[in-house]
Amino acid sequence: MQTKTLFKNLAFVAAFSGLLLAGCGKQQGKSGKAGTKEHSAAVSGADSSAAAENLPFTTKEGKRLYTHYCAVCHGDAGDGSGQYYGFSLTPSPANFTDKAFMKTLSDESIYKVISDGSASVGKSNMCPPWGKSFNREEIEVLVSYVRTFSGG
Amino acid sequence: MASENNKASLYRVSLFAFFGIILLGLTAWVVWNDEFGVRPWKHYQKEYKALKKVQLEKEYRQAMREFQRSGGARKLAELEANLKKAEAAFHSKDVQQKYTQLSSQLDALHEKMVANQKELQNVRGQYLEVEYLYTKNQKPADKAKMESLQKRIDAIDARGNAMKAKTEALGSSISGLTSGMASLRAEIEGMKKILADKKEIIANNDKTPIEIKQLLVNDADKADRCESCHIGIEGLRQVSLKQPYTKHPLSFVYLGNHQPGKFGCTFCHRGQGRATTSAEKAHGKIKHWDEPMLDGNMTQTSCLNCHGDIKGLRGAEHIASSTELIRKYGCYSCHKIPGYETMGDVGPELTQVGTKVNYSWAVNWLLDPKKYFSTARMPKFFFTQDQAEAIADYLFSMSGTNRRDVDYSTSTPDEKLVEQGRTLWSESRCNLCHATGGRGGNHIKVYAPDLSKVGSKANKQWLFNWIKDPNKYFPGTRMPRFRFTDEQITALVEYIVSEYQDDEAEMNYTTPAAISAQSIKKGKDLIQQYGCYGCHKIQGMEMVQVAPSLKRQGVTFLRSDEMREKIGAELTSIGSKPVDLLDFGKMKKSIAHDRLSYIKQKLRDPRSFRLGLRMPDFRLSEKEVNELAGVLYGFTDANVPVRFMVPSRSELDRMAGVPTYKFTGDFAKVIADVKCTNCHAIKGIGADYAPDLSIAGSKLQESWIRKFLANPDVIRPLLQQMPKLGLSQVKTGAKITMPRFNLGQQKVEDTNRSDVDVVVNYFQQELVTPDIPGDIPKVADLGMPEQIGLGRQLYDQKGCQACHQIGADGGALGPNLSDVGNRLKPGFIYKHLENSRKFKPDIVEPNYGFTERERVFLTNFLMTLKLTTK
Repeated sequence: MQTKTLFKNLAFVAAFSGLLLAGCGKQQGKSGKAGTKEHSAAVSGADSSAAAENLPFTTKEGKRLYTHYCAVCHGDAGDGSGQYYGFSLTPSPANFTDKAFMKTLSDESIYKVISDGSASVGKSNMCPPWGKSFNREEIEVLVSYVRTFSGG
Repeated sequence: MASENNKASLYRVSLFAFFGIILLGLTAWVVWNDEFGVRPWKHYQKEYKALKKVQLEKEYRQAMREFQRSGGARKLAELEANLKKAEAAFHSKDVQQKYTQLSSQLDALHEKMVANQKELQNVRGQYLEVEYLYTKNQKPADKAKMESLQKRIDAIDARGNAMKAKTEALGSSISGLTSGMASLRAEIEGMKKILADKKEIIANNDKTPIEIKQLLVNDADKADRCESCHIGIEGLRQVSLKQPYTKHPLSFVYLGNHQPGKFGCTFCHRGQGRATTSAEKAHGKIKHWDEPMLDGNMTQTSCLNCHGDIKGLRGAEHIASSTELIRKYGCYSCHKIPGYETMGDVGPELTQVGTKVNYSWAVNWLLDPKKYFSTARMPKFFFTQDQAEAIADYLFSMSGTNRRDVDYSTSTPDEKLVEQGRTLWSESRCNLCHATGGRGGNHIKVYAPDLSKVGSKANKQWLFNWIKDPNKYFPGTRMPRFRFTDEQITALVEYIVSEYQDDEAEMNYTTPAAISAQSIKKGKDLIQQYGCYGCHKIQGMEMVQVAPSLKRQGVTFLRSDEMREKIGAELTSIGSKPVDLLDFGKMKKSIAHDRLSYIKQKLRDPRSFRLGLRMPDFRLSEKEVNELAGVLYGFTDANVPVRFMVPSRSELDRMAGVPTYKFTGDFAKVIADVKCTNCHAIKGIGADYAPDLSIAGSKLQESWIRKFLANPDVIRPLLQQMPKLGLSQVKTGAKITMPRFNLGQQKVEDTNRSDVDVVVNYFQQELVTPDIPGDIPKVADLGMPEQIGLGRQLYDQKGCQACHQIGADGGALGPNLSDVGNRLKPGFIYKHLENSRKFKPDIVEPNYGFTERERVFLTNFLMTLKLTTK
């Protein structure tokens, strides 16, 4: 009699736990698998075009600002050769691809040059102060973009 | 028996143990899963807290070091010693005695004052009572009583005031004893506070609860829990560059103008805002969730939901340039697209095309436009030779011509005329809009056709008529009417036809051939089927494609274009169309099953889904596909709360009852002729290719306008290469400047005025702004020569020469200033130096923050820069 009830209880517990297991397991498994599959398909199917599309937004924004405001003198590649007429400037614009030179600069000092102009750090007055034209965040974006020329 | 019993019980125990372990394991797993498995945000919030703590502690240590280095500790110790000294002095016997004495005096005085105040109230009460009785009964006795009471009140008041003065004196002598200590304490407190505050921030960070963070935006139906993982997104500090801890990029634009609490996240980014169990689910990158999250530039597609004007909107640069493609390719010609309802035809009028082009050319063009020139905007329809001929037959028959080609390659041109034409060609700067041989051309903004092979395409008579009056053949064309004489046009046509021949041109109908009625019928059917009339005005196509809704109402013919059904699917809400309603057809297995992939595939290869589709192939580059798909994705029927809406300027004007700006009088005639708005924007009308002329009257001097119109010169030498204009891809030898329209050589129709006078007059009457003063402020304490000298000094000091040129010195990015004193009005220079972005939001020139005096000096200096005219 007693064994019978025990059995009954056990069977109930087993069934219940099995159900629980099935329920949770299903949920868990699905989210992981379906998600990754869909995602990879979307990526491979939609965009084969260029790494440029996959750049972080801030880098693209940095590039946009840099190209519009800075590249005239510092060059699209950041080498300071000045795609347009930088070569004729004296002193010549800073070369952002020079790793040794870039290492000597802190983010704060680059921020200061952009914001207050090159004259503010005792250099020539050729690079104007942008602090009143740009927002703080825009200058930060530019600082990090300028860093990319020397490999981060 | 016993063993059997044992066996049975062993079996039962082991079964029990087995299920017991399973149950235990299961319980443990349930607890774990509930705590961690389906709550990844807990882990993220903890890690974020830890990262932030590391950063904060580093800052604290730095502040501490700074404090030590700057001698803060020593100063603090000094202050504390001083405080101790002051306290000791205070506690000395005689000071204490004096202090207690003063204090007790003050206390006694206070008591007296309180009593006095009570008495005052009492007497005032009596007075009011008597006053009431007097006003009621008018008894003289009451009047006398009132007067005596008033005297008492005055006496008590005087006593009170005297005591008050005494208290103040006592108070100040007491604080004289303690003030030294108080100020020292405040100073010590202030020094400690800097560090204490930092400590408090760290403590607060430790105390932040780990919890689901939800942004609830009721009217937009949003409950976004994104910030449960993206915990630092609203922050001002960048705690980590790792996702999901970063702060929002350019938050001063995106979050500054759209506070997350009021807009939520998924309104712009889409995704599944309520999901918290995994990143894939929350980002909506799962099956059966139609709205995957948008990130990067793609997010800007959401700007289209609310903003009427995308152009010039900070933060929407990507989507703004992408929308240009819709205008470029004229998508609205075949599809209904919101905001593009009133755009004109994208292609030229074809009613008289038979009088314009060679038949063989027309057939080849229909077969593959890009084969004729690579920048052609007309798409490829995949016509067979027969079909192309049938369409050409229909068009030619409508023009009253037969199959015919005119071949000029065999005739010898008049060399003298050609030379004259060549000079005119370069003087008039035709290459500015039209490319020839890969040189020049502005197919990016003006979309003028490439003329490299036009000599084998169009006939001389037509070219002559066209140049003489473009509006006559194609009303609404962008081609300006240059003020040429007939002799000049003849020379120009002779030059064009002889110079720009196509060596590979086929000429099959130099002997004209008749057109069969059968072919015409076939052509008409094809034109109706493919909807050529969407982009071109075609004779005999005015009464086709009655919209089904109208058909049901019994309309069988059309009176106007508005009633005509667009041939393509409506795109008003393509960006929110359920994926199940998109027909993937043959591409079902080849591309991802989502809306964006569908749109991209449709743009890339429109007919790949199944047979019988009619959309032509525009042969877009992958970049264009992505950009255009981004725009289309933004056309949604999303639930947009009214408070989100930012109507376009024109819409606001309409709502406010302000009539849209229209050019008036004779100037309107000149504009219709010369098409200034192809390049210039004037009061919101026109393109942004050349400087905005809306305030040109306040900006430019009259004599200079006249000189410039007569002989346009280069003002910004580098402009031709500015990448923003997309011109860097075009190799061009000529500087970009305005064409010479030969204004001033003719009178405006029906009037006696020269067109230059009309333009200059309009500039000065209409294109002015009260923002620009006629005169600049005077600086009284300095003479003009000194001011000019100081201006010159400022010019050198601030590095203006890096971009501007005076004489031969300086850069070439900004306008050459050698003659600026003749060109600009002083008021404009003065205001421009104050804030140049007011006139052009994306101007390269930074704001130097000049003071008013500095601006006056600079203006006075610049106004002295004048070239002497010969």
